Amino acid sequence: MSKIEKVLATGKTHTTVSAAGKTSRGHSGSLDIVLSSPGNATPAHVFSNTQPHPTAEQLFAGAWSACYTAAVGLVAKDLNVTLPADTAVEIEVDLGQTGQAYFLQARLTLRVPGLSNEIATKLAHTADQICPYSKATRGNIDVALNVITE
Amino acid sequence: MSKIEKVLATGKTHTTASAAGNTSRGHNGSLDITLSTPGNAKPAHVFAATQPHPTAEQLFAGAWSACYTAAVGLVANDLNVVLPADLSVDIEVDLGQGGAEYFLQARLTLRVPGLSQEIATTLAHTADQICPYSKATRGNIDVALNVITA
Repeated sequence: MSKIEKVLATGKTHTTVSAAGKTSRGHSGSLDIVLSSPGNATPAHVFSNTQPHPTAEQLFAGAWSACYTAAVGLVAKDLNVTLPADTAVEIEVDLGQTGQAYFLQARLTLRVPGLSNEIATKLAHTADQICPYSKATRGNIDVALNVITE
Repeated sequence: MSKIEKVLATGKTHTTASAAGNTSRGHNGSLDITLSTPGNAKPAHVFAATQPHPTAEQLFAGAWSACYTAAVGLVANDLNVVLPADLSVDIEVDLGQGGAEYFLQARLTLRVPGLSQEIATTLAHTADQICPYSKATRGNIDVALNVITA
């Protein structure tokens, strides 16, 4: 795996789970994209504060976060953990350069206020094992997993 | 690499390079998202006919297609190939299942009307070598590269 020497751009997303499929407008002229999940027309995730003209990195972060959020839900169910209503996933995808070549790297942050650090870490890592976007990039790009329990 | 046995959902995008940054509405209530490139506030790619509630697969296809379209431009420049004005990239990303596990696979189609099959194939494969999204998924998911020159 090649390391990024210089970060050129970062796409950030903040994704929450929305049973009602509400949307709201973000700051600075940004907008929220409501995502559906396959086979389910009801909007399932809110991908907030999208730039009016998102970059590829932000779209990829949005795709990954929708899937990762769903994976966290599956793992929580398996472990009989009740997720807090304000569970959120923040993903930053960097486009960077090393010499003449371009690469990606990513940081995933799972925010589960009220859970123990141990449970949160287990959720974050197990979800990363089953999420198809994590699998698709495994070993090819640097991925940092973080948890916030406050 | 694990094989997908059953495709659950497919995200499709049709991306064109747009110097003017025009957007237009697609059919069936879909909308076009205009993408910017890092460090360039001017919209550079049009990601057409997005579903009102895109799936993760469509967002990922959009990210990949924006980057791949740019990579094709770089390779064409290196090879002194003049790209047709109606160049487009279609990407389909499948979410699928193999046993109890979920995986992705993708098909990339480069449409370059008027170029020879040989040049088009060289562009498609060389762009795939340098595109960060292709690199991030290399060896982890099935990717088919196609060209259309008609």
